[in-house]
Amino acid sequence: MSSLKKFKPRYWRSLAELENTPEFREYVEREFQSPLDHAPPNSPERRRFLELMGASFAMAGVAGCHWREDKLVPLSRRPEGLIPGVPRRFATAVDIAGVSVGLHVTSYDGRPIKVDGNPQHPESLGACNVYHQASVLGMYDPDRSDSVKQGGKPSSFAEFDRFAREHFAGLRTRAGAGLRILSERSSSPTLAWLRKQLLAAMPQAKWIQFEPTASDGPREGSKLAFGAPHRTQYALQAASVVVTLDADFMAPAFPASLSNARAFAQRRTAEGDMSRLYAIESGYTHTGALADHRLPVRAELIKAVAAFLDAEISSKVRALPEFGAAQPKPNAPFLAEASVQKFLTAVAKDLLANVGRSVVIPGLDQPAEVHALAHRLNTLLGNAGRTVFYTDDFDASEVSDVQALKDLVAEAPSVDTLLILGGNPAYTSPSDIAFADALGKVKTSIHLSLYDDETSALCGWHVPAAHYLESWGDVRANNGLISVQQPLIAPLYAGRSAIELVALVLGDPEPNGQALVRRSSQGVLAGERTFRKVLNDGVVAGSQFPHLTPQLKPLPALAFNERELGGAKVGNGSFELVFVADPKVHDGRFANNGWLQELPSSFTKLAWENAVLLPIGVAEELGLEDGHLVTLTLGGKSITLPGVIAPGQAEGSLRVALGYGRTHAGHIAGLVSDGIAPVGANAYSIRTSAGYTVAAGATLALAGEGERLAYSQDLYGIDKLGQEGIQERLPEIVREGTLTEYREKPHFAAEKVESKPLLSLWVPPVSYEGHKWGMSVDLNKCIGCSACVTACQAENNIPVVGRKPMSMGREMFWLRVDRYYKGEPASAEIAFQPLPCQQCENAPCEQVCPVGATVHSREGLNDMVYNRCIGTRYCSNNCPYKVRRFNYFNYNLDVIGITPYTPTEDPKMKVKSMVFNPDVTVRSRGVMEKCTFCVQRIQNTKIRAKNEKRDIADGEIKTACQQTCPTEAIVFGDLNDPKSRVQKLQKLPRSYALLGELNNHPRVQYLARVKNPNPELA
Amino acid sequence: MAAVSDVNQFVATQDGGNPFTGPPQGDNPFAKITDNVVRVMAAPRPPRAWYIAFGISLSLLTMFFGSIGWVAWTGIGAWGNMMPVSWAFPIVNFVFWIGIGHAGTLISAILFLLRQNWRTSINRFAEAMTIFAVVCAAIFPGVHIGRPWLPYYMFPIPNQMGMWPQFRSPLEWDVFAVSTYATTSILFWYMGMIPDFATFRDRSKSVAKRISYGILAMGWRGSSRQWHRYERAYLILSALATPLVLSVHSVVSFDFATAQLPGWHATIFPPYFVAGAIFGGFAMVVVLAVPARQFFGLKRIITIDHLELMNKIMIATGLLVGYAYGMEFFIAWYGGNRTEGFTFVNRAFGPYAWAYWTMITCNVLSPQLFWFRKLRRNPWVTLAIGMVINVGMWFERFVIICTSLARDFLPSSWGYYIPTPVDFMTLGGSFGLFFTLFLLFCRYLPMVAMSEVKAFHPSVLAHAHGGGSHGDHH
Repeated sequence: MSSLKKFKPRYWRSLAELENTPEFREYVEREFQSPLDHAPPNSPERRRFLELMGASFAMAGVAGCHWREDKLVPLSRRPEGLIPGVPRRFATAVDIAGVSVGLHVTSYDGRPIKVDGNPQHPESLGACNVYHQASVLGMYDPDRSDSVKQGGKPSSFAEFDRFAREHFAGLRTRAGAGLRILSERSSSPTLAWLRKQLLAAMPQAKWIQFEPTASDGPREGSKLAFGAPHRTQYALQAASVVVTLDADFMAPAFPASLSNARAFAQRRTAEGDMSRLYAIESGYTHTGALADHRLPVRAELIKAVAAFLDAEISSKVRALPEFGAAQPKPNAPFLAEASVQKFLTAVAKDLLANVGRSVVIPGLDQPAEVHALAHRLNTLLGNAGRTVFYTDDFDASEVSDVQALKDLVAEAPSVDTLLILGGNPAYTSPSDIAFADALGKVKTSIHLSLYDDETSALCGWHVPAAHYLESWGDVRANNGLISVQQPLIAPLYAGRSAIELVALVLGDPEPNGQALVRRSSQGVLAGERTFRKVLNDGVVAGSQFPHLTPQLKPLPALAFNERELGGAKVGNGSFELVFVADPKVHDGRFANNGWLQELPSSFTKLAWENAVLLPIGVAEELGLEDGHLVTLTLGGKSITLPGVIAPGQAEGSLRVALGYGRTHAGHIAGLVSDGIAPVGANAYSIRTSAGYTVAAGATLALAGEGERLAYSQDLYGIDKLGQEGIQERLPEIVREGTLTEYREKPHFAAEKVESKPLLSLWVPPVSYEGHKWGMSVDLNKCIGCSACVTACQAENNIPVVGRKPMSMGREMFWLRVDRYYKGEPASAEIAFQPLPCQQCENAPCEQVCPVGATVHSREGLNDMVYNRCIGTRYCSNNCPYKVRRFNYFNYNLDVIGITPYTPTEDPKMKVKSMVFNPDVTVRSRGVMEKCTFCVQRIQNTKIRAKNEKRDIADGEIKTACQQTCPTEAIVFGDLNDPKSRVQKLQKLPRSYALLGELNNHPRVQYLARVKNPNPELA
Repeated sequence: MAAVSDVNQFVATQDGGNPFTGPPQGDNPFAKITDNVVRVMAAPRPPRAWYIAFGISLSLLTMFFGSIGWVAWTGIGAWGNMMPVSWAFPIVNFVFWIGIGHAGTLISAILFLLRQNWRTSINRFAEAMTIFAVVCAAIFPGVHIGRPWLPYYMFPIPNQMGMWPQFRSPLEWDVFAVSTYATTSILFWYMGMIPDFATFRDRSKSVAKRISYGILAMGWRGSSRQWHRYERAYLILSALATPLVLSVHSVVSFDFATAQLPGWHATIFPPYFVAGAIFGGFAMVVVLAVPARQFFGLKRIITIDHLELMNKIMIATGLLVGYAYGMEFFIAWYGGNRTEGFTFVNRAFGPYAWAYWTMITCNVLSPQLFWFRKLRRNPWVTLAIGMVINVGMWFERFVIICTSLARDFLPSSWGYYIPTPVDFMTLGGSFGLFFTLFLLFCRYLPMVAMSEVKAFHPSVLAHAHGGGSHGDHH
């Protein structure tokens, strides 16, 4: 810089240059210009958009390069193999609260628009969940933080870097005294490597990990059982009997949930060797919905149940003496109840009959003892090494998250620098830990975060984080397999990743994510060839941990308190309250994602808020009508939220989802500074470190009627007459039988409806030569996870309508997952039924359209011609499935604020419109829309096959819903192809057409549910 | 004002007799009839009641166009329509108004062919009512669509887009049924008025009126050749209009009957809808006739006997409608289709039971009061029951359309429709349009078919004098 100081140019390019201002000198000094530096930080205008596109083009061509090193100019020569307008797919990976999955991202001219699972990743197998599906919308969220803030005022990365270099250099000289790093749980090997380096370089620093929805049970349970923390892998494809103890092994929070679901579903094919699932749980889970037998018990009683099973089983297997004695049967009154005893004895008997072919799965939120008992049972039953495998735990934390946070708060006044890597502890910390106050006592606080959120507002520095689709990184799967995360686009708002920030703390002058990832791999990723192969495959082959055979230690006799034995009757004031991560907004991190907010919850079908789920008995006792407000009090603190009756909820157990009631989330989930009220109620405010996952002593009180809720089903509550009507026709809608029944009467599903032979007056007008698209949905495999709904939304540009329109019944989902309860509310069974357009051959919608806007294609699709549609809505009236959706307003413009066709100069709006799939028309106001079987995918594949002069292979076209389904419940294909899977499935005797008696000839057929009940419990 | 009160005095003394069946009562020359009718047009100012009514109607009309404009501007989500009830108030209103539009042609054409001569004093007004009701009805299908700037896609207009309507759709049949009906009704109405326009022309004092009525009268001179042709044409038109009375509402009912929705899919719909339309149409005629005869001094022409005859028709059609309601239930049970059975039980006892029982009370129970001679000969009771029946007929369409849609085959898609304020504004506003047109008609057009009334006047009939009276048109 010194050489520039005196320099006066003879010819100057700008006044700044002539005057040689400090800004200009700095500008010249920085040798490699990033356009992000001179553009205002939040203005991806046209030029910048082109630059970003150019960057992504370049990156697409040379997938191994980091964006910073790329030429940020439009390409003058097209890289080989890159055709503008043809989407490309890249492998990457994501880590959510320490649970990671490998992904494939579809990128359109440099802009990622769709996320799917990576079929090569063993814990995805091509599937992904709603969080992953919606993450692309999260990346384009205009509410994301777009600039560094210091003391709440906009600053710049340059300023932060200058500060950080100096500040951390000082800390390094002091061996990190007073430095505390608070991170989320992460599976990243690079972050772990950096952490190790950091603690080595700065021995006095401390690294704390806090994840609000993670529990210590699994780690502590493993320590209790084996003396060391091990991770558990389940091989459910080998399990004939599965027993869950308040565990939802198919829920996103569960490690390897997607592959668990796939493996479990493999054994739920009624034509094959079917497994049997017993679910013992407090409230309905995806797992419980599929169970052959389900026992609702409060979460706090699970320990006694596990002990009971141990007592039943240990005495009957040849247990080695060093495994210790069996647990005595807990003296719990509820275990003496005939129905419970019968259930558990049958479970124990079935487990014993399937030694080596069974598995007991403990719930993540269950205490260590339950985990230890499950490990013990699995070892005693000979399942270890057959259906259960153990590997090393890569999570380095030693103490419980809550305890670590408590300690941090206690020492806050002596903390010099607190670096918070992600997370939102000011919002998520238990209410008895005054984290927000402690933050004020810390001298320097830095928060790296996607949003300028509750925690950022209290920190000295806020640094925008790069989204996972924008940054380099790596993750480890549950079995240890490493995946590399590669950026799909240059950071929209110049964010940093956590590893880059930690590297900066360590004194790396120019932290570079890619370099860090490659360096941390200790040579594995050093070679260019290997690295490119890893990027291509998405996994580092062979990096998974070897299986261990840990030795079971004797388990000390368990102590039970009175509640754990279910002694006193639980009533109002002593309810059990279970806190769960929300299946849509997680711990609140996805709260500002419209797709997730609008997604109906799997069980309640409620969107746009959380509710306290309560058993029917409690509702009756309180006189609560479904959906009316209740005040939920716990430990003197209360929140008011809707009370929703949850059939199948264990008596005395309440359930509430965390993640709502955000005050600094954004324009969707609540931004108090802009007058946008928080969505939902903040359950963290009543959560304490004592009752962290399961709290005792909750009180409910009626609090009035409240607003109409945004239900996607049973919008107005169903009266008795309606309930009876539903129960009466349910056997025809969701056809169900038992395995024995199916074997004896394979055509039981067809016989559920008494229907005369269906004749038609007309010769079918279309002969369906060539392709004849059809779909088969296996109701035996649908777990109701709703990933298909969000996948459909992402693929087909389905608008978000908002809470109020949804409460009026105007949601736009092309695919919905219907949820039906069967039987008595207290012990109701649940059934899910995904319902896309059935693409009837004899379509009622087509005949009634006066303008021919919905017409039959030669391949049998009911095509919508949006240009022709004038919106009479007659087609919807005549659709027996009511799968058509109408644009009552211009939802994209009214709610999202933008359509791809709207001229705008507002950069935030332009960012929003980047998420649209260019292959699918964005519908305007006043037209009808519906599922098209992803006709754009069909056409693309047809064109490709035609160009390559070949036939379309079976399975080559996958609809968006099918692609993401973890259990492969949805199969799409050509019914004219005698070898296609869909054709074979539709020919199975249990395949039936929903409302087929209307002679509509739907192209979607359902495979009837087949349960495998234990004859002893029948 | 003076003229009107004078007429009222005159009428008051003459009220109560039967001008058609009984012997002529008192002095009633044809000139008096003409005077009565023409006086309304000739009066410098209509009665104050007209102004009040017109003011209210005009405000409602403003609200109508305001609400439609709002809907067109923002999107039809301004109404409460939702999934699954995607047809609601607008289509209910459409069917309601189309139904109202039936009595006019029925009275003009069918009763003409059946030689029901008492029709003469009410036919003009009923025809006017028909046309205004059809105007109200025709607006709804146009504005209820999602893109209200594109209803012309439904017309078979050759165009460069290569688009053509889809003729299998009952909505397309509606387009033709309603437009044919509107055209025929207007022609019929207008043609019937030609001799009366001539009378107005001849009786007008101002030049402007003389010119306008002169143009409307199309050079009518009352020659016997003109009368001959006029009567022929009238007969032909009434013969043409007669099937339309039955066809229009049958076609409208096909919108529902050909759909496969339980509660819509019923073969009983065409006759059921026609009976309902006549029922509602007559109710609307009495609702209009009672105040009109009161305020415009036409009690001598539209007598209590006329009202009584109409009330009798209402009992008959009311019973037909009641029978249809019962038959729907019977078939739903007898047909053994569970979904359909549920639909009807749900109609009567489900969340929309209030609407169903309102309908039953208004349409089936209230006309039973007309069994009492005293009640059916009381114009105010007639008015009240007429209004109640109109409410009931509106609810009938609401029940059919909304309750069937709200709960159909799959319980997962069940819903409950709640109208928004804009829905009520549009509904109320359509009455504004109707009454504005009707009040203008009362003021400026011949409200009673003078020539026809004269033709069937008792004095004429008593002397078995046929068409001879036609020569005297003033």
